[in-house]
Amino acid sequence: MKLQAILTAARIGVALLATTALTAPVFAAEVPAGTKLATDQVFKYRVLDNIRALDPQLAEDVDTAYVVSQLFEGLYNEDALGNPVPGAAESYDVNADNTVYTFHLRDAKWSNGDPVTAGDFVYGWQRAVDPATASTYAYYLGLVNVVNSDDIVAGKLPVTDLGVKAIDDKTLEVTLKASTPWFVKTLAHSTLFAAPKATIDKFGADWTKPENIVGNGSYILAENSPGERVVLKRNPNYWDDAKTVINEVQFLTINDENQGLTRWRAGEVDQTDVPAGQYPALKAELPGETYSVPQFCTYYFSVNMTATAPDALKSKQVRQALNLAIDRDVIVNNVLQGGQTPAYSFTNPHTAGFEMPTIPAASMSQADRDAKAKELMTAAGYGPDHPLALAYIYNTSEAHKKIATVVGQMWKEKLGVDLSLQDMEFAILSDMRHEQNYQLARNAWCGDYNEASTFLSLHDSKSEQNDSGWANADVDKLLADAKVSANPNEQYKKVEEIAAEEVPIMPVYFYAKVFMQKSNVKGWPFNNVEQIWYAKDLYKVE
Amino acid sequence: MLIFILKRLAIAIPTLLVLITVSFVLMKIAPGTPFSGDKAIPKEILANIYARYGLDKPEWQQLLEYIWNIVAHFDFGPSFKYKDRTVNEIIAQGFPVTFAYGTWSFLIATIVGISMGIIAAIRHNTLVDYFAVGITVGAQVAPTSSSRRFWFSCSRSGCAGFPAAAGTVGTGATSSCR
Repeated sequence: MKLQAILTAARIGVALLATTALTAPVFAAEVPAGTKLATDQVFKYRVLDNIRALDPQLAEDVDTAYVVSQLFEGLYNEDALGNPVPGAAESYDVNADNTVYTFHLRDAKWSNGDPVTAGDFVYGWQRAVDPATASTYAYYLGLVNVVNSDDIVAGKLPVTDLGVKAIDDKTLEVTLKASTPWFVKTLAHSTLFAAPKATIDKFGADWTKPENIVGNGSYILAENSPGERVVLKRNPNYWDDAKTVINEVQFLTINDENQGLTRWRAGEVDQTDVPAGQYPALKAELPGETYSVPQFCTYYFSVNMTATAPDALKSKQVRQALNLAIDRDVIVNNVLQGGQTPAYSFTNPHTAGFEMPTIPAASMSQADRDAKAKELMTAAGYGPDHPLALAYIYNTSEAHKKIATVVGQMWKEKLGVDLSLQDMEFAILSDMRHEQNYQLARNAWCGDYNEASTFLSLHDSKSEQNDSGWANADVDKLLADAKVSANPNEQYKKVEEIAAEEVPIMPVYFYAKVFMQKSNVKGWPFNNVEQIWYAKDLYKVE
Repeated sequence: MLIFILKRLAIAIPTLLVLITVSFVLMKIAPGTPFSGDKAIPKEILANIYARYGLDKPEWQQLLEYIWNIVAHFDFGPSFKYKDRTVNEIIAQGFPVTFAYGTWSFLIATIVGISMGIIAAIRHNTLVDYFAVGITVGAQVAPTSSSRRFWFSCSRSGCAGFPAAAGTVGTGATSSCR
């Protein structure tokens, strides 16, 4: 009788679960029949000197994340379009209000032959928030709403209180502090990878050395010479190794873009970035090997919105006038010339599921924008008789300098504004922005996961990354509502509209990644805006 | 001679200690942190990182511990940049390459230079002298960029046993959105 009651309860429970057992095919190197594969299946990728720690919970730079994503695997990977596809997990269930996710792990092995268990993920995630690990990305778990993560990072709770537990070896349950319909999209980030406890306990800080490291990814570490190269070989224990084609991956450190191009031409690397300003010429010379693809980042000017700002910037009319007078088309077409697109709002237009808001300025002609800007400026009491002087800070770089100079000129000619420019080290700029110790500052943001909140949460008055210091109660409420909304686009659009009206930031352009890639490399995920790629999905043809 | 060497060494030690102290103070005065990145780090996390590297202790204590570890254990501590390596490991990676290049340059410069000098002295004011002095002065004034290119291509084709790809540990440029 008792058993019967439990079974009935269980059945009701199952019925209540919005079961989302994904059956999508796993992404792997999909080689069309009849393709003549090259004998040399070595993929050589150029990186900067920033391969810093091949530890999933300590990785922070983009290039390091690329290496780590070959050595380890999360619950879900991303396909060529940025959609989640099963990785270490085969499927998941989620409760009705998107706060409890249950992942079902596949039968997979670590590179030393040990089984990959739910406990390995619990350990990896606890390790990420453990104050002793001191991971820079420890905040990522709080960002994606894992229960108690912020308190554990702050040392107020033990790591065992983290909202993740192993129900059994193959079942992982994650509890979130708020409704998070997009949670599965955050799992390709290395902070949320599994970690091999036995190996880390045995070798301590030395566990990532080639002779010690154990991973569950499609490749294993063969050599690591920081500042020179990282070499990976196929992991025969990887569950999908049979479908892998690339045998070896080399990450070669070449800091200089022009040297990178020379070595690409010589066939020493398969992919390299296009040096600034050379995209049009290279596209004309090598149209089949020169690419410009959307990148998940937005370039913008931060405006100091706090009490420390000069009086002029406290005027909404002045902020709007300055924003309108920036001719984005000139910046993307004449200055950058690399396939970037003008930005009038913050969230990247390629964000999955995001509907672009209607920003009035976006559909105006530049002549109309300029006329409106002059009008606003006069109304605010500034003009030839009462010129405005402002200061702009940016981190030292040719491209940033060009943009600052061009915008300064536009403001001078159209509005009579004198803009003084000051360049500095990135670390100093970052600190000054953070402390609102500026008037106008260069800024840029790249999404951490493919959902609009990765951009818009910066407008939250409590956000650590809110460099403007902008506090708007309506925006805070909309962002809180979006978390539990069935269609958060409604809230997101309103936030963008308020931001376009108040101008705490002046969006300038959406990034593009411009690069050269050898024509014999196939399977590259050009349409993954986060530029997440896995060598296991690539192959080389004759 | 031995006394001279010992004297020089004895002077070198306090000089190095002063240099360490001065560079330590300069690093502390400079704004920013070694951990500043694209994204602002929440203060709780920054506190954890500081604690891990002992940067939460008083500065005089940090300096004393740093110097003591070098003097007593020859341990330069952890790298703030390569988070899974120590400074000793980074030196161990680059030192053999630098040592090989240094040794070869020293040997070549000494042998070729002294030989040329002797020849030039013996055949004073002859074509041989002008030739020898010409080469020596030419090598002195040749821009390092061009000579580096020569030695680099030489090292890559493997001549003279130079190790390829000398330590290119460089500026530590950045990630995506800077």
